[in-house]
Amino acid sequence: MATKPGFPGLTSWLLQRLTGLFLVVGLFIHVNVIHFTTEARLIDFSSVTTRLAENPTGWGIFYVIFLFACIYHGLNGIWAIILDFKPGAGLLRFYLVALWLIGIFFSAYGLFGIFGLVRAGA
Amino acid sequence: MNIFKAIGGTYNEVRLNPNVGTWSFLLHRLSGILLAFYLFMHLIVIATSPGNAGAFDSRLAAVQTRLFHLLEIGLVGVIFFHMLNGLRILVADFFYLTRQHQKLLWIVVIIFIIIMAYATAVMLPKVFHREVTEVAQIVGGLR
Repeated sequence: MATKPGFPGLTSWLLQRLTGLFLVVGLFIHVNVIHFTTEARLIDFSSVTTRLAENPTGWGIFYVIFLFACIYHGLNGIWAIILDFKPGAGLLRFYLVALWLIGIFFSAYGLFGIFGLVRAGA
Repeated sequence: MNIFKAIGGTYNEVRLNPNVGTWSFLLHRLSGILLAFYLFMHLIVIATSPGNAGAFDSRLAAVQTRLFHLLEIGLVGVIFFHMLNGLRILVADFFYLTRQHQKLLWIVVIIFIIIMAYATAVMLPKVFHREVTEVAQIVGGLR
């Protein structure tokens, strides 16, 4: 089944790896800026918005892609764990809907945060 | 799906196959669940009131205590373990190195130790750091 073209499991398998690769780069940037640099000494509204104001478009695009990659990778990973335990069809549908709702909610919430902070720094 | 059955099944898997691959599989899953949970908590802290400096600062101040700075070192450890082990899985998948997965794990362990040594050296001072004003208040109180 895995070799059938367009098999949905194959797409999510590949996307899990592609988002994972992006997260390697994204997390090195994010962890370096937040935890390994002097800004990390005290993170506040001023330090965050000042950094974002240096390149609002660049940081904005980076954080939007980073947000979607994180949410997809996290929820798809949980989905893979759920599949491993072979739940019944009804329960599987429930988990799928729940994960989609969580993903949509936090994507919207994250976008609200990113655009709010970028706009505040501009 | 019964959660107790799931935990029992995982326990049996580790008990019956206590090898490097099983442990890295289990740790990858546990670290992944932890990071997914952290991601949503992180979004709630950061993305709530992004246009209000006072509310944003008070929310961030609550998670910038010594305890949280200490926990951040653990967080960075979980992130880099999951990242490096994920890269190992990716390399094994795409470069047909499944049979070399144990050797790859030792490479992961070495890189992880180097990164964590650096992370601890950079982040540990923050745990014991006192703001200048805080030190001045203590000194003033002693006089």
